[in-house]
Formats: sequence, structure tokens, C-alpha cells
Amino acid sequence: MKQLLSKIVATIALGSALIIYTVSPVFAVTSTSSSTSAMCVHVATLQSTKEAAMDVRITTMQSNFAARLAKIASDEAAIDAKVAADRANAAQQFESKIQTLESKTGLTDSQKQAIVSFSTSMQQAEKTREAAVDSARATYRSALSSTVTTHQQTLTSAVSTYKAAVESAFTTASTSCISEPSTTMSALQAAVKTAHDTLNSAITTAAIKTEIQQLAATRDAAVTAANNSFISSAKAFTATLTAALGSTNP
Amino acid sequence: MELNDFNNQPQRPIQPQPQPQAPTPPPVPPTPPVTPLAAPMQPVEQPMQSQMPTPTKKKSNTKLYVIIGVIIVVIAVAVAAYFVFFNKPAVKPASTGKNETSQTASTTNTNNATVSSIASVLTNNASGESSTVNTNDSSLASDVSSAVSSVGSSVDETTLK
Repeated sequence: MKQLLSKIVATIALGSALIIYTVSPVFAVTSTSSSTSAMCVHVATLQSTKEAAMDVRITTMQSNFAARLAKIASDEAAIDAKVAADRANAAQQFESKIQTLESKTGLTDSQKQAIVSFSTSMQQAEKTREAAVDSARATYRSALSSTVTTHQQTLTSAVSTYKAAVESAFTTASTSCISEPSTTMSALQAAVKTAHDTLNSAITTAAIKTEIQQLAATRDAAVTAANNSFISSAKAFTATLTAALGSTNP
Repeated sequence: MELNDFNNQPQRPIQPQPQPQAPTPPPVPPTPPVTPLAAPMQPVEQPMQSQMPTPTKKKSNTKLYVIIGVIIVVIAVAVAAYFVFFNKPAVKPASTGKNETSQTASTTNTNNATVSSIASVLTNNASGESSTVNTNDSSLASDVSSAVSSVGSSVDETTLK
């Protein structure tokens, strides 16, 4: 009877020991999983909010690019309209003044012919000037469009690279948060910083401000040359007509 | 006429000149007395006017002087009025003729200004066009990197904590 009672107690003790041995590790594993889960949740939250914000900024950037191209086209149309209006107005005034001069009494036939020659020469020189100016403007616009488009493509590509790098960093963090939760955030920050620096470098390298200014300077030089040539011709035509009119008082 | 006659009173003795015309009938000397009768007839009338100046004659001369004076005054007034009211035409032609070369040069300059004014319509437009084509260049050259930088700042490592 005593032997039976001893066996029962021993069995209970062993069972308890086994139970305790078995249960104790379970408690330990549960504590580690809770810490890992918190980091992963944090990473997941950051990834969701940051990538959403990044997508919004990228959309805004693309709208900005489109608006920029639209503004260039709008500016060019406005310039074209003003140039055309100014030219038409100047041509009308010129013709009116020529008619006034021709209507003066006391002009000889040779003087009338001199006025016609003056008018024809001036108008031809004006056409030459306008053609040169328009050519310079067209060249500038073509180069400007190409430059801006290339610039936008370059920046879009850089942003895509940045976005991919950021997403990759978050993917890595979402994995490392399980195995290495203590270093997850520092690794994520480092990866994002690298992506950020790469993007900033691309922005700086792709800056087109100087390039556009150079295009404008080339255009302006061509326009100035055309205008100076025209003004020089106009002076010569003026001197010729003045000499033809001589001392008469038309 | 009358004034001259009045001043020539002493010349009366010359009147007998018609006498030489008488010799036409030389054969008959006694006839000359006929001619002297005609001669004295003239001197008789003239002394009636000159040697006996009546008060009526003096009044006539006075009127004459008055008329002459009035005429002189009228002429003087007319001349004065002419210079007063028509003085410019009298001066201008003198000036024009004096500096004809200057006037020609002035006309030439006027023509030059007129023609230059016509040409300036187009040359001024050309100059203005230079500014027009530059419109908004500054905005075109502005940096669009801000939009891209905004993208970069959307995931800033400093906000990852």
C-alpha cells in the first residue's frame, strides 16, 4: 500500500515537472514574438503612410511637369500673337506714312519713284529681318522643348529609382523586423537616406537653368544681329530718299 | 501853272516877240502901226491879273496851300499805315533772300526727319520685338527641381523613427 502510494506521488511529481518544463518555454517564446510583432507593425505602418505620401508627391510632380509644358506652349502662343499684331500695326503705319508722303504736291516723277523704291526696299528688308528673327525663335523653341522634355524624363526616372529604393528598404525592414528587430529601424533609415541622396544628386546634375539661359542668349544674339542689319539698311534707304527729295519741301 | 505865272511877273517885256512876225509886208512901212495894236492887247490883260492882286486872289492861294498840305498829310498817313500794317511782307522777303542757303538746309533736314520718321516705324518695332521674344524667359529658366525635391522629402529618413 505504501509502495503504491509512493509510486502515485512520484508520478504526480514527474508529471508536474514535465508540465512545468513544457509550459515554461512557451511563456518565453510568447514574449519574444510580441516584441517582434510590434516592430513589424511599426514598419508596416511607416511603409503604408510614407509610400502613400510619396505617391501623392509623385503625382503632383507629374502635374507640375505637364503644367510647365502647357505654360511654355501658352507663353509661345501669346508671344506669337503679340509679335504678329505688332508687325501688322507697324506695316500699316508704314504704309500710311508712305501714302501721306506720296500725296504731297510738288514732287517730281523721279522723287515719286524714289519713294516707291524706299518703300519696297524697307519692306523687303523687314521681311528678311522677320525671317531671321522667326528662325532664331524656332530654333530656340525646339531646343527648349527638347531640353525640358529630356529634363523631365531624367527627373521622372530618378524619382522612379528613388521610389523603388524606398519600397525595397521597407520590404527589407518588414522582413528584418522578425529576425533582427533591434537593427531594423537603423537599417531602414540608412537605406532611405541613400535613396534620398541619390535622388538629390540626380536633381542637381539634371539642372537645366544654365542650359536654357544659354539657348536664350543664342536666340537673342541672332535677333539682335537681324535687327542691327535691318536698322543699318533702313538708314541707307533713308539717306537715299532724303537725297532724292533734296531741298524740295514735300 | 498859276503859281508859275505869278512868279514870272518880271518877264512881261518879252511879250513883244510877236513883232518880228510883222515884217511879212515889207513894202509898206506905214502899216506897222497895225501890228503894235495887236501886241499891246496882250500885255493889257496880264497886268490885270498880276499887278492888281485882289483879296480874292490871296484866298485862292491859301486854299491851294491848304489843299497841298492836306494831300501831303494824307500821303504821309498812307505811307505810315503801309509800314504799320504791311510791315511783315516788307521785311520777310529781305530775310528770305538774305539766307537762302540756310532755308534749303532746313528743308533738307525736314525731309530727312520725315523719312526717318517713316523708317522708324519699322525699326522701333524691330527693337520692341527683341523684348517680346524674351517674355517669360526667366520663368522658363527657373528650376523645376522643387517638385522633385518634394517627392524626395515625402520619405525623409529623419522622419523614420
